[in-house]
Amino acid sequence: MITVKIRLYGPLKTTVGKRQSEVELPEGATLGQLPIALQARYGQQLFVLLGGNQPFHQLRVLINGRDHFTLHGLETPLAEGDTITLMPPMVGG
Amino acid sequence: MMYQGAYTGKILWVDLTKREARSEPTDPELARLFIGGAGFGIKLLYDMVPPGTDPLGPDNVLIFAPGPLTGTDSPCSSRMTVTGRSPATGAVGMAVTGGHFPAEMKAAGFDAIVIRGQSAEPTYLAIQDGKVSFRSAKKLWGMNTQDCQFFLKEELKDQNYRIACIGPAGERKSLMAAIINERRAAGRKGLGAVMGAKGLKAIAVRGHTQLSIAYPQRFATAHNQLLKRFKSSRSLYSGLSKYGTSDAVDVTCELGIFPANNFSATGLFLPIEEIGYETQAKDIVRRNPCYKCPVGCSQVRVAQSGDYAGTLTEGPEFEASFALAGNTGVTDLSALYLADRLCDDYGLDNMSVGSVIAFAMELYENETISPEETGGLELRFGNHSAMIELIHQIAWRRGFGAVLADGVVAAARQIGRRSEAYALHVKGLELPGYDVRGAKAHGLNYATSYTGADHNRGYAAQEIFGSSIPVAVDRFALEGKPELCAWNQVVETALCDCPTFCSFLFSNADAFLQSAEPGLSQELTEHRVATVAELLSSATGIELSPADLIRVGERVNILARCFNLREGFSRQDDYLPRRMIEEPIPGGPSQGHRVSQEDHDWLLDHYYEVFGYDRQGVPTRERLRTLDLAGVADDLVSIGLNPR
Repeated sequence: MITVKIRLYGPLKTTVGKRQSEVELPEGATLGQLPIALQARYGQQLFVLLGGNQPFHQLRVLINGRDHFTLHGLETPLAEGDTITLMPPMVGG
Repeated sequence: MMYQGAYTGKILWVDLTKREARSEPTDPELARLFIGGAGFGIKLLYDMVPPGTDPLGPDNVLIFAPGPLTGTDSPCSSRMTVTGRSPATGAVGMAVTGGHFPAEMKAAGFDAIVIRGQSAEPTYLAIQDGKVSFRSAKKLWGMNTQDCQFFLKEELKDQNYRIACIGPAGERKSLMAAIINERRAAGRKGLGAVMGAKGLKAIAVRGHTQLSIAYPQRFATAHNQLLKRFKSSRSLYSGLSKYGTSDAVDVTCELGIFPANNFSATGLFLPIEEIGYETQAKDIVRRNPCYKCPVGCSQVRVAQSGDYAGTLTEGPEFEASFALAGNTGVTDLSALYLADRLCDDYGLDNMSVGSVIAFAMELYENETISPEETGGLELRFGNHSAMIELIHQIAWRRGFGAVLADGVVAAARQIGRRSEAYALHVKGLELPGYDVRGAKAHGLNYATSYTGADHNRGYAAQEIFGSSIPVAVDRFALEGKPELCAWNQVVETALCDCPTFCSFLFSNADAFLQSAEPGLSQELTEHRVATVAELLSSATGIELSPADLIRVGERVNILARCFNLREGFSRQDDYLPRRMIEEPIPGGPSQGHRVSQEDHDWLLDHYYEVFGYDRQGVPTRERLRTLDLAGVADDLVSIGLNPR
C-alpha cells in the first residue's frame, strides 16, 4: 500500500471537515482510483463533489503542484508521499 | 471610417503651464487603429514625448484614457489607462484602474484627457459636462487621497463628482507613487510622481453625456452573449465575486510559486491558513463593484483580530497579499490590511512598496545594512510593525524611508555594497507576486512587457490557473511559451487594455479546465475575440473583424516597444533578475526550478521571432509596415537601430 496526502479546497474541504487528509491506495494506483478511495472514507457526498462518474469534472487537480493534465491525466501513477491538491476553479490574480 | 457611437468625440488637451484647456475632436483614424485606453495612451505618448524627455519635467504627458466601451451598457468596462513616460523605469508608464471615475469621465464629455506642462502652484482640475476650471489645490497639498476626495466633493458641492488624485507620496515625487480614484489605483510605474511634479493634485469629473450606440440591436445581442458567458463560468460568480482575488494566495502556494521573503524562501513559507482566501473571507463586510460590473471582485474587509484589529480596507488584492505579507514574511492579517490601507491613503503602489521593504529586510538580515542605518528599525522578515512604520516613512520621505521611497533600483544605488543583487525588478519595475521560476510564460511576460515586470500586460492564466485558452500547458516547460506569451500580451491589449475591459473577466470567465472540456479551447478562443470585436463594431460603427482586433493588440505592443527602443532600451533589458536565473526555488512544489541563462536566451530569441523582431528585439521594417507603423521604422533609423 502507499499513502498519499490530499489537500482540499472549497466544498471539498467543508465536506471532509479539514484541509488535509491522507489516503491509502494499493501499490501502482493511479489518480483515477482516488475518488473511489475517498468515497470509501468520506462518503457519497464527497464522491459527487469529485465529479461522480466523471472523475474530477470541474475541479483542478494538482499532483505535487503540477496540473494532472500535464502528466498522464487519470492514468497518472501515484507514489508514496505524493500530494494531491483538489480545488474548484479558482482565479484571482 | 468615422465612428458613429460610443466615443464622446472629444479629447481634452490641458496645458498646466499656461493654464489652458481646449477640446478637439477625437481623430477617427486614432480610433480605428488604436481603439482607446492603452492604444490612445501609447500612440499619443509616442507622438508627443521625444526621446530623453524628463519624466518629471513639464514636457512629459499624463494621458487619462478610458475606452469606447466605457460608460456604455457593456459590463465591466469602466476601466481607464493612465500613460506617461515612467520616472521609475524610463520606459512606457501605463497603468490601469477601474471604479467609477472612467465612466464619469466619459459622461463629463471626453474620450481622453491629455495633460502637459507644470503648474507653478498646486492645482486641481474640475471638469463638468465639457467645461474645465483650474482651481487652487493649496489647501489640499499634504492631504491623503481619501480626505482629498471627501474635501473636493464638499468644495464642489456635488457628491457625484468622481476624483483621481495623489497623496503625500505623489507630492513628494516618490517613484512608487500611485494615482488613486476612490480606493482604486493606477498604481505602478510612478505615475503619481508625474502628477505631483506637474503640481496637479486631482482631477474631478462629473457629467451627463449620454453615449450613443451605432447599432443598438447588434450591441444588445453581443452584450447578452457576454453576460450569458459570464453566467456559465465556473469561477466568476462562485469565486471572484465572493472572494475577490485573494484565492490566488492559495493557488500560488499550492503551485509553490507564492514568493516569500524577497523571493529567497519561495516554497518554504506557504501562509495559506494565515492569509489565504478562506481566512480573508471571514472579514468581508461588503463588495464594492466598479460601474456596471455584475461581478464585484473588490471587497471591503475589516480585521477581526490581530495587532491592528478594526482596520478597514478595500482589498487587499492578491498582489498586496504577496507584497505586504508573503514577500515581507508577515502573517498578521490585520497588519496586511493596515499596510494596504496606508498605501491607498498615501497614494503608493502597494506592490512596489512591499517589494522595497522586502529588499531592505533581506539586506538587514544578511547584515548589509545596520540598525544604525535603519534608525533602529528591526527589519527582520515578519516584523509587521517595522513594515508599517516604513510605509509612513516612505510616504513622507522620512528616516530610512527616504532611502526606499523611489523603489529598489534607486535604493540599491544609494546603499551600494552589492545590494543590487537583492533588487528584484525588470526595467526598474519591481517583480509582481508570482515566482516565475515556476511559470515560464508568465516570467517571459515579466521580462518583455513594455512596462517592465508587469503581470497584467500578458497574464499567463494557463500556467497559474490551469486555463486551457488557447492551450493547456505545463508551466515548467519552455516549448510553446514564446508563442503563448506573445498571444497573452496581444490579446490582453486588444481585448482589455484598449476597448477597455476588465482583464479579470477574460482570464477568469473562460478559465475552463482542459480535462473537463476537451475540444472547447479553440471555440472559446475564437468566441472571446469575436465577442469583443462585435461589441466594439456595433457600439462604434467602425467595423472591426477579429483579425483587425488582434492587429490592434500587435500594433500597440510593438509601438510601445519602439518607444522604449527610442529611449535606449535593448535586449539586455529583457532579462529577469539574476536570482531568477541563477538560484533555483528553494522548496515546495516548484523546488529546483529556475530560468537558466540558456533557457532565457532561447525564450527571448523565439519570442522576438514570433513578434517579427530581429535578434536584438528590433521590429523589422516589414512588420512595422503591415501594422501601419511605417514611419516608426524611420524613427528607429534616426537613432541608429536600422530595422531590417
